[in-house]
Amino acid sequence: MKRGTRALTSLFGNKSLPKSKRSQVSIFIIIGILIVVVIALVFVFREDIIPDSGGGVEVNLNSFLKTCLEDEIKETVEVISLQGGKVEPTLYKTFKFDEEDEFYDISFLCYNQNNYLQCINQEPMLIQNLKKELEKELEDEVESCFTDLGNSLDNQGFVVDARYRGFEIELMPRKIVIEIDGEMGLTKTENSVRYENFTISETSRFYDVAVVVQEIVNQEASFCYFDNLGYMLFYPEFEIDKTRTSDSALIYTIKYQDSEEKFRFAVRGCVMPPTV
Amino acid sequence: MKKEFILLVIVGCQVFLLMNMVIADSYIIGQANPLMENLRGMNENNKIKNLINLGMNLLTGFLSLKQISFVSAEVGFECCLETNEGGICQDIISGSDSSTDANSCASPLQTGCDSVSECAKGCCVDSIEGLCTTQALQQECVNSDGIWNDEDSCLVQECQKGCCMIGNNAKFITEKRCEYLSSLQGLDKDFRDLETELECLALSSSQDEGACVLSGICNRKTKQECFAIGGEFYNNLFCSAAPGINCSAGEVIGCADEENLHDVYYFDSCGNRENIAKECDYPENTCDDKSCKYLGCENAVANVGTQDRANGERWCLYDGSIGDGKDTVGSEHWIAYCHNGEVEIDRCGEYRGSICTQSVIEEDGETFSQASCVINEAFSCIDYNSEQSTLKENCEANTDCMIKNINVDTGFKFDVCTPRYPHGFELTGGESLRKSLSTELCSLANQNCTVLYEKKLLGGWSCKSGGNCNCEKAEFTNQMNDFCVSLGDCGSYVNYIGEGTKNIKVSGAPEVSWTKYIKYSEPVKGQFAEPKSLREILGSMFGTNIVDPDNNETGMNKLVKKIGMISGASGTLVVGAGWLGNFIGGQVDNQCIVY
Repeated sequence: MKRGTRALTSLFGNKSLPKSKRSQVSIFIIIGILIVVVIALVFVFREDIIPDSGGGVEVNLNSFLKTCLEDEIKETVEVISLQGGKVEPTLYKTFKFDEEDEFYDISFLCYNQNNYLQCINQEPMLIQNLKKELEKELEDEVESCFTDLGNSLDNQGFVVDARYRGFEIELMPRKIVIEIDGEMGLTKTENSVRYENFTISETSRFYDVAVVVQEIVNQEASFCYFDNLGYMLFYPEFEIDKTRTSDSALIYTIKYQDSEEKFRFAVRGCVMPPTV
Repeated sequence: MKKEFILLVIVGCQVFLLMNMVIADSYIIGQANPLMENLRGMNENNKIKNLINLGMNLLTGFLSLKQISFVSAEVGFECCLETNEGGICQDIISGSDSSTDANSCASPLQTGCDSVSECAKGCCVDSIEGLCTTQALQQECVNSDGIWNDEDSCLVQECQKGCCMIGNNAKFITEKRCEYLSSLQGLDKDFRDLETELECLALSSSQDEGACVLSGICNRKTKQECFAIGGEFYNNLFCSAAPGINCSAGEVIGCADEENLHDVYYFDSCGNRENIAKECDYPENTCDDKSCKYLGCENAVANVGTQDRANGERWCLYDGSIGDGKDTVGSEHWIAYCHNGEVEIDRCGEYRGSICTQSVIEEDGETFSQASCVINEAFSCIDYNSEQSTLKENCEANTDCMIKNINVDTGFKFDVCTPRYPHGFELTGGESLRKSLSTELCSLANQNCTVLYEKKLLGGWSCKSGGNCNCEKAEFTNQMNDFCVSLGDCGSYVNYIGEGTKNIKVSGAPEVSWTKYIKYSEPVKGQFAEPKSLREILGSMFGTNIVDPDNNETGMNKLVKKIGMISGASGTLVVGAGWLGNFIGGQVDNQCIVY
């Protein structure tokens, strides 16, 4: 028998201690164990918000921002995608698909109001303009989320020094990246740490689809035609539908197969009127 | 005395026609101009404005005659840098500026957009993404930080595409874009000089792959991908065979995650792809769970009955018989395609503005159809009649056109170029001016044939041999109605349902019934329009004077003149003979009316 065990046995087995005292000791031990467990648990949970230099906080700051912005990014991308790349289209075709309930204002990305003539590319720098459109629409929300993050940390007892300078959106294959240019200084119990430049990444096929959109517009502007079936055979991951409206506009719908994201836009060019 | 009076009336009529033809031609030019059409369409509800526009069109049409060259320069186009509805660089007709019309603008530039530097079309290069945009406007490109040059088809070095290997994916893109996409994945650029997209995509599956081990975990990757993440690469080795890796080979079969891989594969116990278990031969089949799924379309709809089609096959569907100027009223050309086991059908265009052309490749007893919708050049065919010297050559060179030999009798025969697939008209609704254009087009087949009668010795009159005697027979009506039908939705003809109406007025010859054309409302098995070369299509589309707003002598008014000359000549011949006193001319008239 080991020494420690023997000591305990001798302690509890000591007939000199009355029975009530032995119970008291047991209760103290149990309470002690509980205190240790509670303290351990507090440390486990505090780990998330205590500043350290190992990057743990940064991950969670990004996670807060991502959670805050996620829905807004998805909604904005959906609105922009279904309206030909614009939140508020100016040159558009109002159209309702049979299988849908509402009308959409779908932007003309290539347009010629005159008959016979090729369409004129209205958005030659489509990807850059989509970025700008997203930035314009998410501007308030990004700043608001950054402020909310500071407030949240403030409520947790940190002295927060938050400085927001702006943000940029990068459209990339399979994702949309938001790079926030800002600083977040956190101080608590003499420990302080400063974080800069937060990056949020949201999975999306928005960029991949937009590149196809540009290709379609190029071909419509050059040849008055885009061979959607041929393209789909080469790139089966894309589904491309075209619908001709009663006034000879063409509405393209591009969908990435493994996602529900789709992009719609309109084209008007090389229109042959019913008579000369 | 009576004869002289008749001749006087004829001469009077011809003088009247000559005087009015100038204005009539001007009117037709005005109506045929697409810019004016759009101008008319701007405010359909505003009757007063339409009336003013109509007047403007008539005036503009009159002034735009080549013969009145000293004022024609003043009638032209103006450029809206941005229309009220937001269209950039749109041409409008001079004098139609407006701050309220959607298709106009308040302060247009006093020249066509082609002459405005901001509206110059060229190639816009996105120097960050490495993307090139053709036919891009200079103003829009530069404003969005693009680099613009005047080569509107982007046939410049920085836009030349090649094959870019990114991991085991091959992309047919520009070198700059290759660099950009590779850098996003932390890979070095691997750009290869291949000319076709097909060659490039074929490289996707031929990349050397192997086991990539990093921190005791193995994944199947290319050498390039593996080095980019700092892994240890074992070329052509599966993870199940890589040292220190505990994955067992060939545990399960299934489909690969990669978009370009369509076969059924073995996977090791760690989920890494190994050898092909079953080749699916894409695009005929593709991997579906653990087997190959047929992507063709069985019993797909055909022109007549059904036919099995392979994945990617495209074919034409028609509402009735096509070609030979016999497309029925209301019929359209359709394109059908088999895409991943499903048949999808699209209309080629409205009013047969586009037609469906098809070609069939035959190999080892199997056929594969390819089809596409192309612009119907029906109006070019009419335009060819304006130059008699090149009529036959131009008409025969364009597969959308055909020479119609009108040969009723020795004094009534001529060749005319007509559409092989007549363009349809907007018969229901639409504006009245458009309808009047349809009427004008049909009226090209309005003809009269003068038949020469000879006085018999014993009294009475008989048709003189060689005096257009056949014009009084059904042959005249049949040929005239065929001519009439070939111009568009004109004449006594049937619609695509098989119902018809009489739309021809004949005097002096038997009537023709639309019922003899009922057979044309049924599609014909194996019938399809022949395709053209791309060059031919583009050349004819952008080279024809139909799309040239500066060319005021359209085909239609020239044809009116031409056909007027034909009947006028035969009329003069008969009138000359009439002076001898033994002959008399009888008129046989044909009037072709919109359906």
